[in-house]
Amino acid sequence: MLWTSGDDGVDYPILEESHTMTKWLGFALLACGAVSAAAALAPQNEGLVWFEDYQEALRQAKQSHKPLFVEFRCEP
Amino acid sequence: MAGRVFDAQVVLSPLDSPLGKLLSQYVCARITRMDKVDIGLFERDWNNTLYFFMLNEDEQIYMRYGGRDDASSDTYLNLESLRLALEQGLDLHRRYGQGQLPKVERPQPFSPRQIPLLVERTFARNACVECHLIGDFQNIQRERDGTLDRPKHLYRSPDIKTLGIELDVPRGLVVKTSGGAAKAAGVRAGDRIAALEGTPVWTFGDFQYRYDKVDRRAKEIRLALDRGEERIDVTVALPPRWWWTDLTFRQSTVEPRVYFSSRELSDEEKTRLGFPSDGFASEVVHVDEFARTVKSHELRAGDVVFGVDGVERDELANTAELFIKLRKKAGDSVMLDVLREGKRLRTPLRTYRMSFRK
Repeated sequence: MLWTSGDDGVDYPILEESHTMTKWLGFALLACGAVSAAAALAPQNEGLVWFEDYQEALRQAKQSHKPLFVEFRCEP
Repeated sequence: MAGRVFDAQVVLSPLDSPLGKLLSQYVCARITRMDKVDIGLFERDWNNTLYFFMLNEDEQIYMRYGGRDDASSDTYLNLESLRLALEQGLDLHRRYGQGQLPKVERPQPFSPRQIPLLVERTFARNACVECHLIGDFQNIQRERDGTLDRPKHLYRSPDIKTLGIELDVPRGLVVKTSGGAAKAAGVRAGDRIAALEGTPVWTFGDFQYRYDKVDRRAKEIRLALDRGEERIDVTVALPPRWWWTDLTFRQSTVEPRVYFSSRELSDEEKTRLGFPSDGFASEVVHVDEFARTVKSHELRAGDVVFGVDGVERDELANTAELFIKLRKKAGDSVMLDVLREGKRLRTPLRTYRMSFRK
């Protein structure tokens, strides 16, 4: 476990901070709604990559000879 | 919430799920900014908040997925039908690779920056080029250029239900119930719509896109149906104003706002009141509060409107309300012929343009 020194001279475990951060991150994701969650979580969705740039996706399709599936999402 | 849940369900599909397994066979892209998109290639009704294309590296579009009705942008979004479409897309891709599909000419590239008003009002302000703004400014531009064809450009998502067809949405283009013009033409529950006017369609998005391309003055359309192992061709008589939809969901459109709504009188009601059956006679059913506030007209619920500036019938419009939307410009003033409590009178109405949010 990692420790950090507080201003009061007392050492605090960093793990506690991480838990707090995780809680805040979870809360933020919930608060932002499904779309924001989708955007934030997409990179963590193991293996399934969503390109944000069409030209980049097209280059990838030319390399892999896979078909393209392009979603247009209007986020007003 | 339009499309948000569906969007999340698609993007967050686990790789080992049926949908994830199919998606992993594609190169997936999720585009949320339209400023660099070739809107010539990815042309569609810009009031769909969520829309999908399946295509290949030569930019040959296999199919569209999405489409909507005026009640909701979600009506035809369904994970089961998307899965079917993805499977079909893979099959088409295999066939394309084997040279079994004809190559279609790629649409001319067209950039949002080629719409001057969009550049002036959106790009110049570094504002987000939202999908609907493309359609909105295209229409304003067309109106300025004198090329706006209102039935075609404003009423972009004709509803398959006007044909009498209710789809079994999870099964794509399989007919759930058939009535009206479709039933009269021989369309049956269980049939799968395979082509419209000779063009293959795989999804509701495909169907609606092709249906939208039908000339608004057309009297009939040809459908190919798969019924069991058989392919059947039918010709469906198009009902009057088959292209009409309620435009209310479109936040910004160029048609004049009249701030009342009406219903066409039945033939029997028209005859009883002495109006021709092909005339505008329609009963005011709702008067918007805005009309009272700005005194744009003095119509009351129950009034029967039967003329606009002396015109009482039109090739396309069946009511005075629709006639104004199709034939007048936002900001125009007109004189309405009205029957109120048995007395005929003329009363003015001023139209307005819906102000843009952006």
